[in-house]
Amino acid sequence: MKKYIQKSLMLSAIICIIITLVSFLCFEYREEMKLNFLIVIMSFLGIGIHYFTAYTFYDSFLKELVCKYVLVETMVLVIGIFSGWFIKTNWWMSFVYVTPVFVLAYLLGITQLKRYVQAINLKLVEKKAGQSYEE
Amino acid sequence: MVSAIFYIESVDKRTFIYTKEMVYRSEKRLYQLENELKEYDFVKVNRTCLVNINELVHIKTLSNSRLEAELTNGEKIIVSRTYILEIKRKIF
Repeated sequence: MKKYIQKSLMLSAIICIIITLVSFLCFEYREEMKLNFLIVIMSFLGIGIHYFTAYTFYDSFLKELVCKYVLVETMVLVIGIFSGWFIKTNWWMSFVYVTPVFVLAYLLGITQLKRYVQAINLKLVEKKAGQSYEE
Repeated sequence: MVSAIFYIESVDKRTFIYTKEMVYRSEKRLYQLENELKEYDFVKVNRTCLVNINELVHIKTLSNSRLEAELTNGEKIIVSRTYILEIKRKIF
């Protein structure tokens, strides 16, 4: 079920990007296109932040998590203020948007990580069993 | 013998090679050894450490979501989440 939801979400993202891109190239530029393009740019930068913090703070999970949240929040705040998503006095609204996305992305990441670790451990056990049998 | 190496670690720009009984210092940098050992069963587990996967016992998820690899000599090494997919590919 998880994989089904993941794939359908991925498909919806592809549909949004392609429709926006085709509309942008064939028709006139409209304001809602800007939002889609900004989401694509933010996702690109967000993944960059994810890899950067995981690489830099590989030995401290808490540092990684805090740094990641601060960087993502700053990015959304800066992009949001410049593109008029929220006015300067309403800047705290960015926390309302960022926190649920951050928590969901974190939970998805942890689930996938646990799956990888399980698969690795299973393979290691199989390898050891194979080696013992050969000996 | 390459298979006698447990892991290779870079500490303060110096590279150390750990075998069962000895620790050797290498003049080469970790990325150079990583390239040279590409055909062997070595995989990067964090940005400073290259592990022989034949000496890997298991990977454990700690309570704070950190990952730790245990080697056959009992040593424990921190595994970065960034490299987990690479480890999986190498083992499979």
